[in-house]
Amino acid sequence: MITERCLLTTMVGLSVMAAVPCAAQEYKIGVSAAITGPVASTYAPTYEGLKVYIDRLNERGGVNGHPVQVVYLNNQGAPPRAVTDSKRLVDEEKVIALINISTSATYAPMVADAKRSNTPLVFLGSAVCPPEVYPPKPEPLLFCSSFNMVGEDGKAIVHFFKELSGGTKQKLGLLAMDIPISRQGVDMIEKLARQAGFEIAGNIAVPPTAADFTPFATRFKDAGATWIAHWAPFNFGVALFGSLTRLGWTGNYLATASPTAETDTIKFAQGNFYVMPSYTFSVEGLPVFKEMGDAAKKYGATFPVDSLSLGWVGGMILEDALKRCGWPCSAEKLRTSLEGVRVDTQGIYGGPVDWSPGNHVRSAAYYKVYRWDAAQKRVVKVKDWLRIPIQ
Amino acid sequence: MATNASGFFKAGYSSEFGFWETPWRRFWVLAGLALAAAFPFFAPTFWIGVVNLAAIAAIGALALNLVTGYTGQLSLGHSGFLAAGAFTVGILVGQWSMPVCVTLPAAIVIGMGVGVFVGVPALRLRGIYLSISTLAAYFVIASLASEYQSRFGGGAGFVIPPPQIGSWVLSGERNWYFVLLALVALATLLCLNLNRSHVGRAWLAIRERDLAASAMGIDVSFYKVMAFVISTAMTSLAGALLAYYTAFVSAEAFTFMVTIEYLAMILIGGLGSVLGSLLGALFVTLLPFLVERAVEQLPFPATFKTHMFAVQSGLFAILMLAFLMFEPLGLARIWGRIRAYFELWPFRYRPLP
Amino acid sequence: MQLAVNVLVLTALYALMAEGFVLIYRASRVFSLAHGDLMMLGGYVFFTCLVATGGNLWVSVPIALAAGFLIGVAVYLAGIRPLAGYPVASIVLVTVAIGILIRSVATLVWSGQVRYPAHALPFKDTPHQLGNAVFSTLDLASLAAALVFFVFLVALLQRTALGVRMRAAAENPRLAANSGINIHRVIALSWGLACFGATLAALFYTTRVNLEPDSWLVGLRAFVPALIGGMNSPLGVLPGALIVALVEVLAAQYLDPVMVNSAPFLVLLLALWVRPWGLFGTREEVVRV
Repeated sequence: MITERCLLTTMVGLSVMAAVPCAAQEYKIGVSAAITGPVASTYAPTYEGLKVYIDRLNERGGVNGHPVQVVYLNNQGAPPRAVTDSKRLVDEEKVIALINISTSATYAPMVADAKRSNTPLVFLGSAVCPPEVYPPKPEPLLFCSSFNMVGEDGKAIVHFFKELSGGTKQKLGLLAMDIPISRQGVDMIEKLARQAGFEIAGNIAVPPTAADFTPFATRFKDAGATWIAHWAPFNFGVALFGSLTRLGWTGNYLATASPTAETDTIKFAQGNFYVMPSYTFSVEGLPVFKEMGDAAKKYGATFPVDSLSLGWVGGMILEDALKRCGWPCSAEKLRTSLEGVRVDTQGIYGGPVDWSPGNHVRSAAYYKVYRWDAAQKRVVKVKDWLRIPIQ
Repeated sequence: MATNASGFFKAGYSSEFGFWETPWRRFWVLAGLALAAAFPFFAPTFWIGVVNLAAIAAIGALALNLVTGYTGQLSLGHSGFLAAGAFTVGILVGQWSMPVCVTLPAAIVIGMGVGVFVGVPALRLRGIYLSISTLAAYFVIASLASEYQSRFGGGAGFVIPPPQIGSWVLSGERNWYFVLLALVALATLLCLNLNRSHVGRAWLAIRERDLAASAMGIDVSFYKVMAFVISTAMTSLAGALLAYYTAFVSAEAFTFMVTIEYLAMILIGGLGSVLGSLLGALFVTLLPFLVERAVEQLPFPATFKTHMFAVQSGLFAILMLAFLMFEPLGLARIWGRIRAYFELWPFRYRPLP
Repeated sequence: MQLAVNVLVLTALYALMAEGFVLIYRASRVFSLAHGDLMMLGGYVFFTCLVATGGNLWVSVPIALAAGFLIGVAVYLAGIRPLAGYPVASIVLVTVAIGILIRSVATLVWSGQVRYPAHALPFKDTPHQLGNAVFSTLDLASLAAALVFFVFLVALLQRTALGVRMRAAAENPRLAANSGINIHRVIALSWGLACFGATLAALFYTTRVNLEPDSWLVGLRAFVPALIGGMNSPLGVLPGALIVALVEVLAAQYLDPVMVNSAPFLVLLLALWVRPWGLFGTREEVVRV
């Protein structure tokens, strides 16, 4: 009986504590991110970068004299939690903007709730920019500053293949993770590569929980692939690259980046591993990285500084939009000011993040290539910014 | 199957068919229903939404309890059956824009088909091997769904417009609440009646000792397959409702953890108990949100926030452990004890005859 | 030839992971869904030791293995022993809850970052050529470790008095208890051994691929070899792992690699249809839920 009474009181107590305090002097933003869960390593650093930027912003007095209160919810990359997260943010917390830092499977519920409540939704460091944000007529409520864009990534990969391989006829291997979005991305890259005249030595989709990458590496090696690229989470490509190296494969690997790319590239110390981020690595020593480092240390980020870039840029975007929105700022006003965002990323991206009524993603995508130089014992830049305009 | 602590009041065969034994009990059941009907008028929208999710989960939990709690066949493929219903809706609506009066029955029929596909091999297997075959069925369905989505769907899944009957569109938490309440009531009635009939008694016999049941003349194969078919049909319906309610279908939403959650629902609620399924579904759906709110109210320094999410899932696991350790027979048993306390008061136990 | 090497290495990995499932099932009649998480925890302990000692394998490996053993014993004593006699499904759910708890603790302590223990090793994993097949130092080490572990296990179970006691407790706990065997101690030992095997598997998995709080999903794949070999047979794990590894590698090479996930399950379905108790398992009584 005692146990039952304890349990009952606990449950009643917990439900009573569900009251939410009311505060009216702040900008309220809602974030639904994959902070824990199987895919957290790709999205959690961006969440931390954003959080660190907002904490620093609030300590400096906020925007227009008002603090920015961000409600962070953890959807663990799972669609059912994204459903309840966005409902809570919109119905209960009454945020003026929604931010998604998670897998593409979580997009649909957040988009539905954004449309239902006319709240702008920003995809910040999410899996990929959905087609609805592209010009000429983007969906009014959706904005995207993610670094992965299917078409543009593919064009960049093919372009760098041609440049780095000296234009000779190469056999190209392509790796996807066995989830719908990754496979579709890789299929598109295959098409672009064939158009450019490359021979495809395998388009392989590997299950997310593969215990060993050696069978797939063997298949690539037997097919004679000299260059391999992936369009999948970064650690996936890394695992395949590890297996390839163990098999004695001497080709080159081009990896599309995710936030943790720099730290991992330094760890490998392999000369034939190329990384193609659309943001700058901290090894270039830009002043903005010192700022990020100080803020990260002060506000307790658990991920290394070089993975916080995308979240930091997200914070910059938010600050810019809120500044122009003024006070008081409603969801509708914020949507209009988001459409006028023009943020100089201080070198993190190759160009500004510029949104307009006809373009909710960016005017151009920029890509760089880095690799490890054994002689200099550090990561060096191989190719400078490649600009791919977004149509 | 909670019997009255204060005694057995059925006086004749006709009262066997009734749902309540005494007018007092009828009053309480009707009062409970009235409270459930009034709930959406004074609760915040977010919590109505959570209860809606719990209602859909309740239909799934009732179905799982039929096959696992009542017939004793531990089914680990529950997530796959949900996916079957959801993808039926996704495909029918996505490809051919079928209306809801076609997709829901279609989901039920597909569910029955899956039930036969899973139930017939189950006849040869017992115990843990049966569970594994249901798990294998889940993987097959999940792989098929994922393949379909990769090839035909958008990378992010299918978007489902709200269901429409004639000119009336079902949208809004409150409307969904009443529709789901009616469906849960129907499902509960179905389960209660099945359990009280010869079908339920056959299932109980199979659960205890199917060899003995077969020796007594019960057609074990027929009833086992029937248990699977009914259960998967109901689960498929729950999956279809989930697709309409969340307005999208994605293969990545149907993980193995979903099966674990449903098993937790019926275990925490009480195996073999209809009330247990309902209570368990409510508890397991609500608990993560309550834990979240509770942890948010506690004063943590700002740097702890990232870790807070890990703390939340840890707390959820601890609560589940505590529950399983201290009351393995579930919430239904706790409810039974509370009820017995009030029914027998001021006595502690039924007086000896 | 290369395929044969791949199959062997994968077999070693699966066999080590699956052995834990079998040992726990024999001892407690419970399907431990926490095994993947235990493996992940062992991997983290190993990684922490490696980084702390600057790559000293002679210290890190024994500490990780010992920690794995102790964690297994602790899980049994804290979580499973109090529930003796409760329905099997409840205990399975307890293992799930324990798994979630371990994962939360791992995220709290080590954060969600993906780690690469391979880079903390004191040596580089170089490929060696044998005929027209290539294998690496770690491949060889994993094969050797698996072999030693199984020889040790068989010797323990078949030749020692302790092993006889373990087998007795696994077959009929009540009779064993009546015969004076301290079954809790013996079952705790089984759990410890199971976790030891999982940590051994983790040593090789994390250095080949990576380490993150969600590596438990990989550990869960290992129950298919356990089932095909027979949940009651510690040695049946070897042919079971071999079959699954063979199917996966062949599927990756000659069929669509996407099939790698579903191929083992199709084999499992076939095995269940034809011989449900596995290749070497014993026919079991009806197990009540």
